[in-house]
Order: sequence, then structure tokens, then C-alpha cells
Amino acid sequence: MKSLISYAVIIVASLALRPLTAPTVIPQTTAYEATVIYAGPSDSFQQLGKLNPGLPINVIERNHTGMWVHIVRKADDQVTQDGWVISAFLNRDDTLQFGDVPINTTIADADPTTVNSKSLASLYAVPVIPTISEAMVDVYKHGQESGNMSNAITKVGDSLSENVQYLMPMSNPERKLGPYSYLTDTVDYYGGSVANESVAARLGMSTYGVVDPFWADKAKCQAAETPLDCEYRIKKPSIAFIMFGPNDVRSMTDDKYAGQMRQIIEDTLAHGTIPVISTFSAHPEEEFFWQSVNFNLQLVALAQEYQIPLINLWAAARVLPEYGLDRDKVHLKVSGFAYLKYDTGHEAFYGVVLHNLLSICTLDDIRHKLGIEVQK
Amino acid sequence: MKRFCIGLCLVFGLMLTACGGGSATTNNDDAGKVVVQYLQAKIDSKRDTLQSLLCASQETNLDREAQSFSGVKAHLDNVTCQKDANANTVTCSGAIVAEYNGENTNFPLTKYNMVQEDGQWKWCGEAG
Repeated sequence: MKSLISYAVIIVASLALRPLTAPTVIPQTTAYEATVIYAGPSDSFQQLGKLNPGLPINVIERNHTGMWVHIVRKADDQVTQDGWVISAFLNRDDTLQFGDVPINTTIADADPTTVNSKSLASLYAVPVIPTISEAMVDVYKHGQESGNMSNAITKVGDSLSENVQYLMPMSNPERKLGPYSYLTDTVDYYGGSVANESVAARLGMSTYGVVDPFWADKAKCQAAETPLDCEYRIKKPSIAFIMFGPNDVRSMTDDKYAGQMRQIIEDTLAHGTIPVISTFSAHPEEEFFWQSVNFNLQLVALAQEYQIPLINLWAAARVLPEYGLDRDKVHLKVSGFAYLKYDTGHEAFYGVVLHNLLSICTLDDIRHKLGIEVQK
Repeated sequence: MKRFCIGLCLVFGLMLTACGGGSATTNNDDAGKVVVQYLQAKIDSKRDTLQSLLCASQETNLDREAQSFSGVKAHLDNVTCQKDANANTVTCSGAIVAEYNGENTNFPLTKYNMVQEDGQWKWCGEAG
């Protein structure tokens, strides 16, 4: 009898410990082309083999975004292949929804031990999607008291941010989120606020330009106002996506860059706006590659110091063709679609599509952290 | 001969007075020229020139002033600057045109504060 009660307790406990998101049916799919299987959700992990197209697999877990999924292939009830693949190479029908796939919260986004450079290993070790700190909840509350708009976001940066395909497609009612439909509420909530361009994101702008009144749009900004202050006054955003580096890296030292980013972060926090900063992709064949790595490490240090969210675009883009960059090896490659299109795996081919995905995932986490429910 | 000498001295004296007034940096034309020099140095990222034309209260912004156009190819387009009457400001027309990745962006010019330091006009930020 005693052992029976023990068993019952174990069964009840195991049921209680089941993840709430556990699917009743494990999604099945196939790869549409041969893809490498890794020991974890990054190409820095050990390669375990190759998944050939057309073979049925079960998707049992995903990483934070869903860009990588943990798959298992069985034959005659025996596991024949078990590892992580880029989800973009899987056939995506409506049954594959990442919202139904449990998130593996224990595995790291990369294996830095396989990288033979201390600087690169340090960058790989930073999570792709940040954990949102309690400090950002306080910043948000301060911003709300100051009149910021809860559902307004903006972008701050150079031509990579100014690009009309970055964030602005969120405002387009046409969308194909594919397996990322779990992000629908977040896109709905914030999308309308990015329909118009930001005066703090311009071609050729640097960390100096964004705090220089010369760079302000005189038709929209007040006399002697910086583009950054102007944008925050006009839009009153609760969240700002900030990315500088590809321009600055050509003419600035690490210290000067960190100093300017610090000023931008502090100005943003003072407005009660959550600054979401991002590392930037760089091509190893590009002249300023190692300086870009150093700049990105400065961003990591600043994010830790201020407890602000940091998107590790640099690490996530490593697996993309040409690191997600266009032929000039500076700008992120665009897909050409003016709406969010994730039904065909573009996030694994175009840097801008990946940048959007990581930004929206971070936005989703921030929204949940702030307890904002979307009214249907 | 004496009258001629006195007349010559008077004319010379008047010329000296006129020249003295003109050479002083308080001349209204000079303030406008300083701004044009400043704008050219800014788009050329010439730090030393900017430092010599920047007022003391703006010196903390020297890095920004010298670097903010360093990532683009820029030129001045139809720029004229004139000191405003009864005010220590200079109003400019025209624009800075910056080219980046084959695309031009216009930065229309506006009104700038000027102060006199060490007998020279100095650029002192946008007029609010």
C-alpha cells in the first residue's frame, strides 16, 4: 500500500512538473534539403551528422526564438538521429508552430569552447536573446509616469536601422509569421508605432551624429535639439532599438565608441525609455572585423553595467550565408518583402529578416515581463 | 605745402581709422565668414580648425563636432552666412549635402550663436 501511495505521489508530481507548453502531439515534419545536425543550437557546437531531405522527424524542443530546433529521427522505434538543426531548412506547414514546442532553457546559445579566440569566445558566450531585468520594469514605469506611450517603439541608428525593412514591416497588416505565430500579439501591439520613419535613424549617422543638432530633421525637431531627444519627444516610445557600429568602427577607438554609446544609453534611460542595444554582424574578410569584435564586446559590458537588454545579432548571424551581410559586407542583406515573412525560412538567409525576428522576440519578452496583455 | 601735408595726414588718419575698424573681429562680415569656415572644417573633420573656431563653453563637444560627419562624404551647397542685426547670431542659408552609399542627404543650415573671445568671433552652437 505504501509503495502504491509512493507511486501515486511520483505520478502526480511528474504530471505537475510537465511544462505547460508541452504539446499533446509532437510536431512532425521533414527537411526540404540536406542540413547539418549539431549538438546544440549553433554552428559552434559539434557536428553530429546530416539530416537528409524527406525523412520524417519529430521536433521535440526549440531554442528561445525557434530559429533552431531539437529533432529526433526514429527508425524501427530506435533513435537514429538526435540533435539540433536550423528550423529554416524544415518544411513548414501549419502544424509546425513554435508556440507549441517546449523551449530548452538549459542549453546555451553557443559552445564558446570550440572557438580558438578569446574575444570571439566571449562574444559567442552572450545569449542571443536577453533576459529582461527588473531594472527595466522600473524604467518603463518611470516612462509611463512621464507620458511615454506603452505601445510605442522606435529605432535609433545608422543605415542598418534606417532601412525601411527593419521593424517597419511590423506595421503592415499583411504578414506571414509561419511557425512564429506566437509573436502575433506582440506585432499587433507595437506594430502601428513603427509605420513612420525615425528621425534618430539616418543614413551615415554615427554615435556622434545622433547627439549632434546638425543631424536633426529641421522640419520636425526644435532648434538646437539632437535627433535622439527629438525622436523621444515626438514619439514618446517605451522601448528603443539601438544599433550603431558599422559606421563608427571606421573612425573611432573602443573607448570613444563606448563613451558615445554610454551617453546614448543614459539619455534613453533618462527619458524612461528601455534601450535595447544590439551587437552588429561583421565579415571576417572585412578590414575592420577585429575592431568590430572589440566594439561588440564594449556593448556587452555596457549592457551588463546598465542591466539593459542586448540582442546578440553578431552571434545569431554567424550561421547565415555571408554572416547575413550584403555584398558590401557592411549592410544586412534584405529579402525585398515589405511585410513580415517567416513562412519560408528567410531568417536563415537575410540579415534584416533575422534582425527583425530577434527584435520582435525581445519585444515579446519585454511585453510579458511588463505584464502587458493585448486586448483582442 | 603745409596745407598739403595736413590734408595728407588727415586722409591717412581717416584711412587708418577705417582700416582699424575693418580689421577688428567685431566686423559683421567676419562673423559670417567664421561660420562658413566652421562648417567647412566640420564636414572635413578638421579638429584643429574647429578647436580654434569653437567657443569655450562648447569645447566639451569638440569630439562630436569633429566626428559627426566623418562617416560620409559631405560638401557645402549654396551656403551664405550673415550676422543678424542687433544680435550675436549668424543666420545661414544653403545646406550641407552628405553622400552615403550613393544617396544624398540634405542638412539645411540654420541660425547659430556667436560669441567674441580673444578678439575673435567663435561659433557657439545652434541658436535655440
